[in-house]
Amino acid sequence: MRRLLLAMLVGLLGGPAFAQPVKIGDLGILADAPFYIAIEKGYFKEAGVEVSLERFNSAAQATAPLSTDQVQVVGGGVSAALYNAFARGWPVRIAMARTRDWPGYSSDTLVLRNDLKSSVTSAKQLKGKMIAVNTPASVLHFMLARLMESEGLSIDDVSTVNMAWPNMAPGMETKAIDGGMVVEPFATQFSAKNISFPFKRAADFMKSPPLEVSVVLYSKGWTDKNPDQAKAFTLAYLKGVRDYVDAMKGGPKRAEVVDICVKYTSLKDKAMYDKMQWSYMDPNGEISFDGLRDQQDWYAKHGYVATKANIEAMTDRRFLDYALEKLGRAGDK
Amino acid sequence: MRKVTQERALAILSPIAVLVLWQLASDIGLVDQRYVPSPVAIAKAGWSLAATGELEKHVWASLRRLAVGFVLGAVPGILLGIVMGLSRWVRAALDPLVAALYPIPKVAILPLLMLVFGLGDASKVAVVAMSVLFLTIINTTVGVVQLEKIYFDVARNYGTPWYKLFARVILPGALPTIFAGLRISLGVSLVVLVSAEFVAANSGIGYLIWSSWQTLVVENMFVGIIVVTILGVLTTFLLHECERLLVPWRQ
Amino acid sequence: MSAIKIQIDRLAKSFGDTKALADFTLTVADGEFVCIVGPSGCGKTTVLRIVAGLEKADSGRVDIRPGIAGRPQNAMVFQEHGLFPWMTVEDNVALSLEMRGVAKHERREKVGFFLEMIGLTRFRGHYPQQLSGGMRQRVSLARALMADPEILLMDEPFAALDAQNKLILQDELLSIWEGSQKTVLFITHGIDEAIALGDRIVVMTAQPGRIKAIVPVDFPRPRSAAELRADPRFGALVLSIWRMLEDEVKATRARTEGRA
Repeated sequence: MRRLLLAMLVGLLGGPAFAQPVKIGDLGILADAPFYIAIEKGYFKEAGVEVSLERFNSAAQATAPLSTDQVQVVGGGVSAALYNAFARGWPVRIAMARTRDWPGYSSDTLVLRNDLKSSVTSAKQLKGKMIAVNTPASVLHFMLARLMESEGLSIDDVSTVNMAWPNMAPGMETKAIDGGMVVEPFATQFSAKNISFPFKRAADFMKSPPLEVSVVLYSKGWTDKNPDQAKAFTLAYLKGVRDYVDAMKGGPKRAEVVDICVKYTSLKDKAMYDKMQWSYMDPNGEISFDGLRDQQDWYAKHGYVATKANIEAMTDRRFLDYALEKLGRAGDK
Repeated sequence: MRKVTQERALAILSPIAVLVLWQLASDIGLVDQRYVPSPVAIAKAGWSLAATGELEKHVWASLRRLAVGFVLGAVPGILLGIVMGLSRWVRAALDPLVAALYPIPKVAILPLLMLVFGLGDASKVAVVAMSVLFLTIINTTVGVVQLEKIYFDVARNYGTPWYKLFARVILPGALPTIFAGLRISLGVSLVVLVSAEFVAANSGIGYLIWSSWQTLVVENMFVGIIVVTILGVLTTFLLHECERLLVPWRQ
Repeated sequence: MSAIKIQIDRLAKSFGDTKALADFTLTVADGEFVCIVGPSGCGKTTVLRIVAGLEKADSGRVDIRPGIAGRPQNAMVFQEHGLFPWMTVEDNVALSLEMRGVAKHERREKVGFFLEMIGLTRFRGHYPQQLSGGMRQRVSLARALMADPEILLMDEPFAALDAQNKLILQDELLSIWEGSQKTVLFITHGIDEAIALGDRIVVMTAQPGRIKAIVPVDFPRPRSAAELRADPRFGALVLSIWRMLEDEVKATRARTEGRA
């Protein structure tokens, strides 16, 4: 909240001049791994880019400082907030895709209390239940809605309450809620603690388009002033992505990547990395326009987005193209 | 009389002047509308929220929680405070407890409270009640302890039975300080309620502010903030009027 | 001679390590006005409080001859802040009646009558803070008199007033008392006040307090506090009592300042 107010103040005053190092707004989650890898393995240094990390509690918190160029790069979750930011004319651009859900690599999960295992076998039986969602009009909220719609119901057929992920555990233990929309590692942690079981993962029913979870956002102020630095940054970043994808698939880089993640993210339990599902990243960073459009339409339909933003205008692929040109495209999807 | 009218006129005109300046600054781009909506945009958003009945729903939810929580905290707080004020032993026994529990940020234990009270109004009411309780105890105790000993002498000398002592001496004597405590509690309880509604609610002004921020519908967020301000002014005014009625000798 | 109203016998009282009162013995006749003067800390207020029943003596006794049933034995007039700020003048004066369970309309009537007598009717709905110091003490006095006690206990009631108001109130007190037959114990630091008001003056020693001398006052009644000043015997009496007090006051100063 404080950062949003600061951004507003800056918006009032006209914004400061920005310094040379690139500030990355990170959240300390697995999806930020490519940043951490690129730092640890010297990819940024190689590319001649100095970076610093600035920790935020959530992507929403980071978006305002991004728009005033106080940070230059943020991994932003897809949400109504993202579209509203664009619609308001905030100078941010999608540079490339970040995470999405894919079979075997689906972090976004609806978990349900263990005692409901026998009574709830399909989404139809979720009718009237109380499901916790961490933020309204977010990816997980959208996923829940799509799940209900897949069985001919709607989001209004469940009751939702907003709760932070850690609080969902006691919420389920006391039967205050029936289930929660979570990401990893919570889905696996809750199972391990015998609180809940994973009922549905996004990739189970969202195939085409798959659930688009987050994107890499660049400050437009930065890319206007320093496009060459942005290109160099993207090149280094994409290398980090490739290492992540290798680790994700169980390749030789896995142990190294896990160590880096343990160092930088809030998930310090090494064993958990093998038990949980990692989020999927496209090694070529291709944005799914269908996925983005799909979500915005839903948000608009439900009143979270007043003016729809032009999806294509939201993106700026120059930097991704430069990186792909230098590195070449990776093999599969 | 003219001076008073002048002052009143100023009190009304100056906020209006600020709003007009803000709108102008917004129109000419001095204030970046992307981050700070103009007063007109906020008013429009407020209007639509009111039209759909959503604003009313949130205001009602917050007011309900505030009123119940306030009363649930103030009444035991005053009673306990009086007992503690009158008895050295009770004070000695309970003071450390109050001192230990009072500084705990109630919002921090909200998740815990939700386990006990559930997800509905009860947890918010509990948070408000707890904040009010401790503040009221502390202020009431002071009010009673500070009662001039001479009042007790007078009461005794003029034949006051013990049951009238409370109603005719102790309570009125401590009432000004009790009200000071209530005034502080009111301000704090509004803050605490709104913060609690950030964390665990799906209705209430705090929820409106928080969810508008989360979805970046900034105009609605401002509407929420303004509503909180108005609620603050209104409740303070109400309390002030109560005080005027109940403590007429301090006017 | 009138019957004995109050018999105080060898009263002693300590507060913690401090012995405030030692061996205080006094006989007060019915309807007598007795003034007590003494240095600070000599225990004079303690005597009054013990007679009022607000304090218990460590040793000794106080015997009060019972009077008419239903009448309160004593009422105290305090120095300052004796009035309840949350009660109006009317409610303060009516206090004794209220606590006795007298009905509201009856209280209003009685108090109204009383206030008329003392000339405070205009202020019946005022709060004490709205009145001057002099008026407040008049209300205090009225409150005590409204209770219609056998004994009036007055603890430096005019101490906080300026010299002019003091004179006025002394005369008012005299005119009210002279018809009433009440027994009065009046504490004061002012020797001239004690002489103007009292039938006898009890002079106390420094702490621990005991009686140094009891001086009769022969000026005829009815008296006027201001007019008495013109009488040369008045000045002589003041001086002689001061001589008795002087040593005690100096001893008290030495004790308090030496310790400090």
